[in-house]
Amino acid sequence: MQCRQCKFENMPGLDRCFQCGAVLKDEVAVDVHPPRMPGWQAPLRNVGRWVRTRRAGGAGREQAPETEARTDAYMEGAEIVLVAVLSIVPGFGHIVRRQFDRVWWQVLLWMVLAGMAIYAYGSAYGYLMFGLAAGLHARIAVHWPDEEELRGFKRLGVMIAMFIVAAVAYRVVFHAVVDGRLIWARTPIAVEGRNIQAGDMLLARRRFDPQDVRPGNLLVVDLPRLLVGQAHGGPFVQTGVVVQVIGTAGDTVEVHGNSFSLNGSELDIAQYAYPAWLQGREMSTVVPMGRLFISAEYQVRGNVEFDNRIALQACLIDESNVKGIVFMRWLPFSRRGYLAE
Amino acid sequence: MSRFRQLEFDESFEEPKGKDEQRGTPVRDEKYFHDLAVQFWLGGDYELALRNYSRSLEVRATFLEGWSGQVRMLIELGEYAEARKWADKAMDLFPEHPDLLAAKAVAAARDAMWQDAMACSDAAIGKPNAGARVWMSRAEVLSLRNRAVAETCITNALSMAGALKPFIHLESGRLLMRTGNYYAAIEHLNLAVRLLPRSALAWLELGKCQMALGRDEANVTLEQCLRLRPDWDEARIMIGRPQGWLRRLRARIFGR
Repeated sequence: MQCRQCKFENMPGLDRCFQCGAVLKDEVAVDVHPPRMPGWQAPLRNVGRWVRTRRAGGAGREQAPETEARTDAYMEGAEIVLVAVLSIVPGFGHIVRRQFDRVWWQVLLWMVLAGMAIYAYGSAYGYLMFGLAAGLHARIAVHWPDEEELRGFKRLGVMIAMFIVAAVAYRVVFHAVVDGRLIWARTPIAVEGRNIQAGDMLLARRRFDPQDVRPGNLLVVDLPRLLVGQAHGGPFVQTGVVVQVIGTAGDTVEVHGNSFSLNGSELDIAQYAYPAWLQGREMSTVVPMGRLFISAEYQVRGNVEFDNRIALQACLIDESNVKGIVFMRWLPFSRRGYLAE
Repeated sequence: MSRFRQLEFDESFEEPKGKDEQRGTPVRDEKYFHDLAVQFWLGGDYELALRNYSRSLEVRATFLEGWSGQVRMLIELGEYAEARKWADKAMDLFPEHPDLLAAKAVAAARDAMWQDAMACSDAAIGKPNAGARVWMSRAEVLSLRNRAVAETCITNALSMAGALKPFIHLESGRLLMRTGNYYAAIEHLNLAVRLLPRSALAWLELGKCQMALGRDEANVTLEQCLRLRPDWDEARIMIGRPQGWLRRLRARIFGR
């Protein structure tokens, strides 16, 4: 009896092939209905498959033979450094080595994190997102399939170094791109009529025409002297303070104990913040050329006595001290929006 | 006839065949069910194909094509663990048969068990009677690692395919499309629909490939698929998919 599988000629009466073990007779008692997968197992198996694929470095490339293309070849130490340097832009090193498909989803996630960090800049969430983005950036930089040289503490060291490099790079890029144009500052004054509360983070633009400054505008200024500084006898400069313009050059400003008047007409207290330290004070002045009369929330600490002359000095600032004009409520998120002119 | 009912005949007498068989209805042997299963597979109905492979084995349990067909249908249905288990069971009857080893290798590769897949594929390819399906499975196992070698395996499979050539073209097209090699896949699928014009599966795969490449004729191809199998939701959904200029542009730039 000839075996169908190996063509071996067997002795009559055998059930299985003497050479290969295949069945020789057609009458075999065997269950021919295959087992089936329960429907609920499908998603679990998909997850397991996904994990196995990722663990293997993606799509079974973990054992790429050395004869494959240059892009899959083993990297030497100097090359790892070069690629890490290229990875200052996340994924750029991989693009150069044509391995971007291995990190594309990480780069995508990094972009999302960076976007969220920018959106939440100034808040704790924003810093958290920046940290996560820098961490992911470091991971992308050392994410290579043939990184046998980068194991254990060496890998950790490179990742930490890349984390620091990424964080510094973000700061430098942010400074170069944004700091010359915008200023973020927390406001100590509240303007109810414009939906601004003390502690809000406001966004100001550096570039503006000084002629556009009007009473009611919020400015970011460097205050040349503070009452508390004067009380201790020395100049004290506080940078990036949010103040409100009450009067510009040539305007007559009067202080009436708890409100301002501008050129004879009383200003709405809801639209023009009145600082606590000016409470009960009565004075009047004509704003000189090149200066602005501002409402600023000075921190008067202790029992400091000062007269109207010092109070006027505190309210009149030079136009050159103005750093930016506020145009947006940045934080909190719930009240983010542009300020009406 | 009732008056002859009580007559006694010797044991060699055979009952006359039923009316259907007398009229030339095909004999329902294992080959009949196997052909039926292949038709269902070409129609994209893997469940019915599996059932018919099982029926072919009910007729003759040692029908190798039935076992390997069952394993392949389990793979088509995404039940890779069962496919491997069933391949092992089939190998009790046909020890280390290359076709079964090849099917097991494919199941392992699709289940992301690369080492098992490679081992089974190595074992299958080393057999003296390794055929076209073995080379196709080799191509599948290698396709994710080294595309050039995989294409050589496909060429080998086609060279020894013989009567299986249409199926190998179809399988090659599907494999190449799965690995993102759409331009090579479309050539095989075009040949497959030419050789298997009544296969809804071939038309669907061609439609998918054309759609991935952003070609305008994809909808016509999918309509042809629906003409052959009107109840196929997959094709219907794909026809309804938007074919905007951005999608086409992306497909033309990135090839998918």
